[in-house]
Amino acid sequence: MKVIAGILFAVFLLGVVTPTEAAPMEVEAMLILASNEPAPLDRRLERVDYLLRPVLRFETYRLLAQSSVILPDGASATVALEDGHVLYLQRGKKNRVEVTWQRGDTRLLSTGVGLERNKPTILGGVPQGEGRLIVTLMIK
Amino acid sequence: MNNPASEPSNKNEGPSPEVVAELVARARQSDEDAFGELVKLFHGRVYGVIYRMVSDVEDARELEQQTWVKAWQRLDSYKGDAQFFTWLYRIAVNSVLDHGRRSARRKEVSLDEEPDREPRPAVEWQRPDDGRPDRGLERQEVQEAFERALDQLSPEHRTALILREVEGMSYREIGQVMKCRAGTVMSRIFYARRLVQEQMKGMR
Amino acid sequence: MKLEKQLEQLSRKRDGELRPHEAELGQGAEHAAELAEAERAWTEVGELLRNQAIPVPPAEVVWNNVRRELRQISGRRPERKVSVFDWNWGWLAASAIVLILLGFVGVRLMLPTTADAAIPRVEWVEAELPGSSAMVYEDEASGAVVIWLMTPEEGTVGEAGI
Repeated sequence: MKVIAGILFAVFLLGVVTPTEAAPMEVEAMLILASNEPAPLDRRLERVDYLLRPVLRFETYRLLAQSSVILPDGASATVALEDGHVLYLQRGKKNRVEVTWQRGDTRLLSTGVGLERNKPTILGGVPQGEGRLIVTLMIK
Repeated sequence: MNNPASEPSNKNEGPSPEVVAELVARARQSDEDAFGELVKLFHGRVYGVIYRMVSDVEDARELEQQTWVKAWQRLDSYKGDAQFFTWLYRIAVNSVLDHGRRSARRKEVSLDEEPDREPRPAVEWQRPDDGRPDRGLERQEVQEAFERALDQLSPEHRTALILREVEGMSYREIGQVMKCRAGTVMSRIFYARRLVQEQMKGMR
Repeated sequence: MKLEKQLEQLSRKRDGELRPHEAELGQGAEHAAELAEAERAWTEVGELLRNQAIPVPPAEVVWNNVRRELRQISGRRPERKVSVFDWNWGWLAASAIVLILLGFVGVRLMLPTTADAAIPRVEWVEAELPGSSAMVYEDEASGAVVIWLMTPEEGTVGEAGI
């Protein structure tokens, strides 16, 4: 009898832990110009500089624009950045997001990516002058 | 090769290679006393490197102990092709980098928050301050700015800079310790210098 | 020569890693002021590092702690062998059931659903700039994901360490 009660309790527990709907997440986007041209360090990038340098070997990073958006489950949003750069975000299941990066009417890059806290997603490589443009996406 | 503009202080200090080789040979025969001699000979340098990398007394002590225990356990793998301290530093540096990675995983560092500004152990300025309190204060500020600048470096950049500036190791030796190419070492040291220089601008 | 290149050479010169023919190139530098400033600043960086007061614990203390740990490691006795006839089969069966149930709940709590687990961090990428292609790189140490656009005129992005 006790065994049956135990099994029933365990089944109850399994029911309780079923995942619920994902909470809204705030996504922060930064448009950064990376180059090897000498320039003073951009102190506004202190929080991401350390994360960018191990994976991208540019010498300098300069923040061009920064914006945040709150994305509820299944919602979409537009993030307008500097110089006609726009990000279209469409949130899928959990933290998965479809991103389209455009400059004016020109589509540059699209991707479907899972965003993770403390792990930046870096889109980059778009040439600009002597450097490359980078967009970082992070959950706030 | 040109002569370095400023030679780090610890280069070429320490016991002779013959003494070290003999102690290592004895330690490999499970001679604890010989290993104890090695610990005593290299403890200061090993601890110094670890402390500079982690800036925390407790972590440094724990990591140094780990380094020596691992060294004892792996003595058979020391082939004598590199200097003993290079081999030892490799163990120490890897222990610190692994520790950093584990800590980074454990610690929920929010990217939205200000960088860690936990108080660090007091670091004394060792030069005389000419009896002028204002100068002492100024130096304290420089030292603090320097510590903050070091914090901005990745562990790999910081390690390369420490091994070069404090231990006077060549790029090749640092590459052996950090398991990377000499070119990578060069690039890391150069960047570390520039970043620290940039971060300390205005302190003059 | 570009300032950046001269600074890089200066850094190697300080470290005694400059080749003789390169030493010639550095003569008569056109960015003398910047180089002098870098020289001064880097010298200071070295001095600050070397002059850090380090509270070094006594070597004897360190060695005693190390020796104690080495003895603990080597002194660990093998666990007592237990005969299967000594086992309490009732308790064993009960423990096994509890562990299986706990494990099941734990797995359910901690792991993503099977659908999520199968999905890589980057599901798909389209490089939409004409003639370009994309490269995906995940940095294990930082957990950063890099989606890099490579454009035809410049080939691969040499500056990126990916």
